Amino acid sequence: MSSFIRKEMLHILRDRRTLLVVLVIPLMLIMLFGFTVSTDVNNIKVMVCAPHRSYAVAQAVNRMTASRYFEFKGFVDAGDIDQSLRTGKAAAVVVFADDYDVSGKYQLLLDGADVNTARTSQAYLQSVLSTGNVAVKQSGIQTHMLFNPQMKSSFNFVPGIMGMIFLLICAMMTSISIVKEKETGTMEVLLVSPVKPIYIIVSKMIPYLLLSFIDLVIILVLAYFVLDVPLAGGVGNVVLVSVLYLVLALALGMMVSNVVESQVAALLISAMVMIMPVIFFSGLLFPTENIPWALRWISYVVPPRWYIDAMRKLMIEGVDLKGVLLEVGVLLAETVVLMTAAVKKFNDRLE
Amino acid sequence: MADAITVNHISKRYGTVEALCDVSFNVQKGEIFGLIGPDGAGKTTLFRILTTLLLPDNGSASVDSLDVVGDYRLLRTRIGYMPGRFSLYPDLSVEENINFFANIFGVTLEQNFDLVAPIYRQIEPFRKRRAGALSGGMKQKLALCCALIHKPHVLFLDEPTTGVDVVSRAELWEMLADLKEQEISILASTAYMDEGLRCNRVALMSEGRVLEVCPPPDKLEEYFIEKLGNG
Repeated sequence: MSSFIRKEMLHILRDRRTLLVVLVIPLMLIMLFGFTVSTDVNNIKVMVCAPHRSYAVAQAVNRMTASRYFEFKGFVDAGDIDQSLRTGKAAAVVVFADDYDVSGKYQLLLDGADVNTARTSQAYLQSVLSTGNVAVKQSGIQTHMLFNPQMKSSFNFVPGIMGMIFLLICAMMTSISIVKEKETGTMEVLLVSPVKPIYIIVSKMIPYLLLSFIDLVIILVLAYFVLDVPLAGGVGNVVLVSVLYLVLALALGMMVSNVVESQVAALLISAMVMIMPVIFFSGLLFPTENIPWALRWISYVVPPRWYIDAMRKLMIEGVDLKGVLLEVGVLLAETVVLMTAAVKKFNDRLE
Repeated sequence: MADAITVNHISKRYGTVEALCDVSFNVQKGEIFGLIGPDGAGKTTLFRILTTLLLPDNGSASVDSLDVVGDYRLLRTRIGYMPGRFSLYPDLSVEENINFFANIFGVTLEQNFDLVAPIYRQIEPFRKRRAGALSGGMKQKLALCCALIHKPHVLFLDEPTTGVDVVSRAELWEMLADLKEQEISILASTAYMDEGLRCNRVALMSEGRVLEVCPPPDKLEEYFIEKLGNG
C-alpha cells in the first residue's frame, strides 16, 4: 500500500500546474473574499438635518466625525434630503427631532438602492447615536452584536470559503483520479492484480488529504494573522473538525469517480453537485433559514452547511467541541456513508 | 497435466453486437498460443474475459485450473496481462513503473530478476526516463517487463506488437520464446500473419468465432483467407 501512496504522490508532484492551482487558489480566494468581497462599510457619507442644533446634536455629530466608518458631509435642509440621497452626495441622512435633547428621537434615511450598505450603515449609525445620549439610552433598545461587534464580513466569509474550497479541491481532485485510470487504461492492468478496492481508494485519498491539509494551514494562518479571524474555539478543534470534513470531501470525490466514466463527466458532476449546493444551501451567502422548506431539506444534507456552521461556532463564537457535537455527528455519519458507498461502488471489473 | 487455459463455449454480446459466439479451445502448459484475426474479431473481449475483467454471458473458462468468474481474486495473482493499449503510467519513470507493479504484487525486481533480465537489460539504459517518452518498442518491452514481474503462470498479451517496428517485433517474439522455456504459458493475439508462425498453435478468429485451431501452416495468410472465404 505504501508503494501505491508513493505512486499517487508522484502523480501529484509531477503535475506541476495542478499542484500550483491547488495551492494558490485557496490563497487567492481567501484574500479576495477577505478584502474585496467585503460587506464592511467604511467612510459612509452622512449628512445631518437638525432644525434645532443643540449641544446633544453637536455631540452626536462629533462622534460620527471621529469614527472612521463615517464621513460627515455637512448639514442639510429638510427639503434637500431627497436630492442629496439621489445625487449620491450622502448615503445616509440623520434627521434629529426638535426635542432630541429630551426625547432622543431621530430618524435615519438611507439609500436603499444598495441594501447591504444601507443595512450596515443603519447598524453603525444606531450604535454611534445610542452611545452617550442619556435619553436614547433610557428609551431605546440596547443592541450588542456579540462575537463580532464590528460586523466584519471576513468573520462570516472565512468559514464559508473553507467549506467551499475544501469541497472543491478534495472532491474535484479525487473525482478525477480514478476515472483517469479508467480512461488511460491503467485501471485494466491495476485490476488484474491482487490490489483490493479499499486499498486503491484509501491510497488515492491519503496524498490529497496531505495536500488539502497544507491548504488548511495556509487558510488558517491567513485568516488569523491577516484577516484577524479569532479562532476562538481553539486551533486544535478547528483542525480536527476540518480534517473530518476533508475526509468527507475526499470520499465524495471517490464516490463520483467510481460512478462516472470520463474525466469530463467527473468534473461536470463535481461542479454541478458541489459548487451549486454550496453556494445556495450552505449558508455561505444566504442564511439557510430563508430557504423555502422543500429546499431547506436539501440544505440539511449538504455537508458544507454543517461544516460552515461548526466553523462559525468554533472560530467566531469560541465554543468548544461540545458545542458542535451535532454538526460533527452529521459530518461523521455522512463520511461513513460516503466511504462505504465509494468502496461498494468501486467496479471490480470493466463492466 | 491440466491445461493452462480452457475455454468452453464462451459467448459475449454488447447490446446487439455479438462479440464472441460459442468460443472453445484450450492452451497447454508451456505453449505459445496465438489468436489470429482481423480487428473486431473479438480477440480483446476474449482476453478480458480470461483475465477476469469481463463476465461471459454463456459458457465457462478456467485459467491455471481456476475459474475466471468464481476464483477471480486468486487468479489475478497468477496471471500477467498486457493490454493492447499502452497501460502504464506515462508520468512515472521506467524504474518507478516496474517498482510499482512489483510492489502491488508483493515482489521485488531482484526476486524475479532472472525472469525479466533479458527484457530489463534492454530498457535499463532508459530507467530514469518517463515511460511516456519511450519509443513504441521500448514501451512494449517495459509493459512486458511489468506484466512478468511477479512471475505469472500464464501470460496474456493482447496485440503486443501493434505499432512496433520490425526489429523490435522480432525481439519481442524471441523474448516470448525464452519465456516458454521457463514454463510460462502464453496466449498472444496478433493481426500479423508472420507472427502466427512463431506460435506452437494458433486459433483463427473472425467475427466472434473460432474458425479453426491448428499448428500454424506454412502459408498462414493464404490459408486464413481461404478459410474466411469458406466460412
